Amino acid sequence: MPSPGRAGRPLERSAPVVLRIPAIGVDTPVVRLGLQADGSVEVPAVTADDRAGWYRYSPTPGQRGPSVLLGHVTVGKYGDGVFRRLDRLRPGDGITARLENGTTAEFAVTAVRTVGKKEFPTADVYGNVDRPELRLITCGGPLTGDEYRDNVIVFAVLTRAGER
Amino acid sequence: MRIIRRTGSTALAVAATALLIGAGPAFADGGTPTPVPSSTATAPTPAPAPSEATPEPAPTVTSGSDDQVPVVPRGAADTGVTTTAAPSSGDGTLIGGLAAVFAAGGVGVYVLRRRRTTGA
Repeated sequence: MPSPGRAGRPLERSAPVVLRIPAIGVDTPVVRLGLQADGSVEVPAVTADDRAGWYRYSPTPGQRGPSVLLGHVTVGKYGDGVFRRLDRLRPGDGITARLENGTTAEFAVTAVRTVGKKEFPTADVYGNVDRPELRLITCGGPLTGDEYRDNVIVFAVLTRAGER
Repeated sequence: MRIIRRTGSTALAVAATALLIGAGPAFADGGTPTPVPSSTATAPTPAPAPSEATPEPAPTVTSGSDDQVPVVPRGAADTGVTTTAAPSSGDGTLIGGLAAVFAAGGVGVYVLRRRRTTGA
């Protein structure tokens, strides 16, 4: 059990290795993501046991700023993705990130937004904030051809941090 | 006489050859230089070998920026692969390719049998 630290106090930079979201049954390793050749964000591999990924140019969970993690809603022939039920989260639900250095950062959901990909709120997702926050991103909404029309974005704020 | 004739023919052939050899350099030197394709100049640039990992563009970090996310991705995230989307088509291509190979093999066997039957 992590020992509670000061609520909301920023942590040192350390990459996330595990992400847990009990309300929707998520317990996944976390891979590191960068950019694709076209400048869009890289996404985790499409596999049967797909994982969440942390955008490595964003703060690590618990650092001041928006730490961005992504996961698939569906992974083609493999079925549901790791973030299949992300849109079911509600304000107050807990999210825990375990970091490489053994620290655990706990977050509480503050908002869940479904937005059209064409109107992706870049500033809201990647813009500066004055506290440690989390962004979880997946796809959602109706299908348009082979693609989902929307992105589901979960906003969360650090509530507690401690060491194992 | 036969020796003289043969000598004469040989001399004529040598003279003609000399003219042809001489004409080459004269034409090349006196005429407008024509670019001669060289193996190095026209060698096609080898295409980059395909790799599984797409090379990531060098991130542009604004120096002196206070941005908490110094490299902001372009556009939305493509975090949903449907059952009809690209990844499944990869297997389809493979299966289609194998089918084409088997089909070609089948045609070859058929032709061979026809030839054996007809004694060809």
